[in-house]
Amino acid sequence: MFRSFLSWRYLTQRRTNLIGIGGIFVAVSALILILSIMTGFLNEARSSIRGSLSDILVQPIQLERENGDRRLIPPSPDRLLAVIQADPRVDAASTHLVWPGIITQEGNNADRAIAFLGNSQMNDLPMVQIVGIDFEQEFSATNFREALSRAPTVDKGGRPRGRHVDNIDDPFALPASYKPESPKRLPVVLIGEQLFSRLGLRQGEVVQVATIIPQSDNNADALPTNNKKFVVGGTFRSGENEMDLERIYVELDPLQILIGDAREYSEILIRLKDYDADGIAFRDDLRHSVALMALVRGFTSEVKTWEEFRASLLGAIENERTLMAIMLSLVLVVAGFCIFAILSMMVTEKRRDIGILTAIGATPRGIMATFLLVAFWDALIGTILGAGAGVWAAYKIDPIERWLSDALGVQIFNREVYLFDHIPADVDPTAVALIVAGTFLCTLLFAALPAWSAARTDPIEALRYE
Amino acid sequence: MTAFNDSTSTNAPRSPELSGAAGPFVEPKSGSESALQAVQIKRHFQIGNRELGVLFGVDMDLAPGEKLGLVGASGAGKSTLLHSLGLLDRPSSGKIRIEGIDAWALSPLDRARLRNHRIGFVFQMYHLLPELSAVENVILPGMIDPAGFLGLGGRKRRRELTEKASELLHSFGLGDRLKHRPSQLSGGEKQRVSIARALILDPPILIADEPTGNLDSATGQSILDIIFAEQERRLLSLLLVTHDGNVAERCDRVLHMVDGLMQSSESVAAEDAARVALEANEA
Repeated sequence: MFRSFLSWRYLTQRRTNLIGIGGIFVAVSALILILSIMTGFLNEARSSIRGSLSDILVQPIQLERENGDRRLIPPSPDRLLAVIQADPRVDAASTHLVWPGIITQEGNNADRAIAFLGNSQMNDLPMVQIVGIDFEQEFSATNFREALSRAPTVDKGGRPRGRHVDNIDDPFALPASYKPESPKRLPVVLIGEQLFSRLGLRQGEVVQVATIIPQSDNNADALPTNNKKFVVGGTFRSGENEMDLERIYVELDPLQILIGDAREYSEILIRLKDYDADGIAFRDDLRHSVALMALVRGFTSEVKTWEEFRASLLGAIENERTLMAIMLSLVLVVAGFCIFAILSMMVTEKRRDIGILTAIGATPRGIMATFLLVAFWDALIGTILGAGAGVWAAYKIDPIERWLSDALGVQIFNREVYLFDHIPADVDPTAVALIVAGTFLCTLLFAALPAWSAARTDPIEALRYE
Repeated sequence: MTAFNDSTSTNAPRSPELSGAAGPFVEPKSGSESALQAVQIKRHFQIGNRELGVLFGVDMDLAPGEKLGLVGASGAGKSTLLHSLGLLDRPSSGKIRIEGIDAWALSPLDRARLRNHRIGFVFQMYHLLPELSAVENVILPGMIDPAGFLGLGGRKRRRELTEKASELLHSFGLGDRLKHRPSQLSGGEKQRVSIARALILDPPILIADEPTGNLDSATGQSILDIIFAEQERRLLSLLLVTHDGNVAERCDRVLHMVDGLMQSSESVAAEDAARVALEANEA
């Protein structure tokens, strides 16, 4: 009875204990808050990457090798699509024809655009990935429709960076703002919001898309280029910065015309009905069947899940989270040292009390328990307050960030970089439980040494101590 | 193991629900003629390579209900003996029996319980816990149950102890000082709190180590009055260490300690007479 009674009294009567509680509070709340934000980022990144990639990606290697290996796969995706769509686990599939290009505004001809390549000072060269799609396929197999309808972000002046297409059900229709200069009907291009904003484009404006095209004749002197005019139909916002800066979507036909029918497709994106349940099995089955049918060259890299495709990025985020958790755990160790210092000081100050307690019948174990209990109260109060504050801050991170940004006059979270209009924070109850348990363990471990030394205090010496 | 049989050692008023609440441990030997007994106690300390002797075979016997005074010059070994008798310091050799039990042969836990229940300690320096109020200091021994785990569930016991402590402090004239911290009390008041703490569990033995050593004579006298009154009321076995001959005279019997050995009153008187004679001759 005296242990809890006396330890509580020591805790409340000695202000130094507040430092220990404060240390634990800061460590626990910071750990929970930062891990929640990292988890939020991870989840947000996963969903945005997954959305733009669909579930399974088939990228057949279409290169012809020079050493006589002529095992070329069929140029048309039809047979591959037929195999994929025959599988009951498949929800939808979409073919992409992906080609590199340069986008320039009207007035810059393609030669001039190409000349940019040789200019070392032109590091803002708008090199883009031209993706040729069938929008209906794309809508069903990826989240392209969401990317087209997502509200555009705004710049510092409050102007929206993007511009929705006129009709989302027909995104490649010419926009109303387009004023045709010639009777020739131009195809429409959909541009990533970031690129649109950076180039200062307007909806209905005509742009030039230039590219190089593969040669059938290896002995030709010049590298053939081609360029084509497109009308800007609107923007999309995938939520992934790179993609919104480097990708433009066009319909398959104009792209094939631009590159001279060199390819029919580059990749097939597949959305499954239940990726979590069937993803890996479907990938393995598909690898096997399409390789047998010679629809791909047979390399495992040709059929991948979206997670495999983005393994390095996902791994990096996950790794960062783990690293952050380990580094922040050091804060717990610092809090532990704090407890160690406070308790050691208290044991030295309380030597006489220890002697008195022994004289009136306390055992060394009881004295050790008394001082351990002081650390326990420190941990209990610090952890409860810290966990509460950490969870609260994770839920309220946006207003907190805005308030801090205003107060400090610095933009803490740059929404332009991340393209999230909020700071993502997901509180993981398991992580919170682990942090709480770890704090208790750490505190009690650090308290054990001073408590043990209290238990070993010689009562005679202690009573003589004034 | 059974609970204490209170009637064997003393007729002091007891509240069995309190003194027995901590549970049974070692049964005092019934019919023991001695409350506290030291048999050939030797104590030496190792200081570097040197062995420093302090007690050289001390015998002492405190009968139940007896008032025994222990006097001696500073450095004679009184405190060392007291620490051994109070079970705080293990003697190098010899036996200490408390109500017939060889205390140093017990386990540390049983020894702690013996210290808790059978011996009350009054120190010269009061030794109150500064964080606790007067009444909390008094109930502290009652809250120590060396065998308890976390000592939880003692709300009722604490209330009973507090009531008893309040009564005790009232009877010592500290009724208006119950909630005061030691720092807010005078020396005499602190010592009265200390006496109340020593008596809260109704121990049969009270050891007082120079209880008036830090007080002026009037206050010291009032403290001694309380100690002797309680001794009489409770039939305590009292071991009173003092260097004041007048104080010692109030005891039934006085032992003199000289250079780590016990001497009878007669031999000490003879020595004193010889010293006085020698000094007179030299003069």
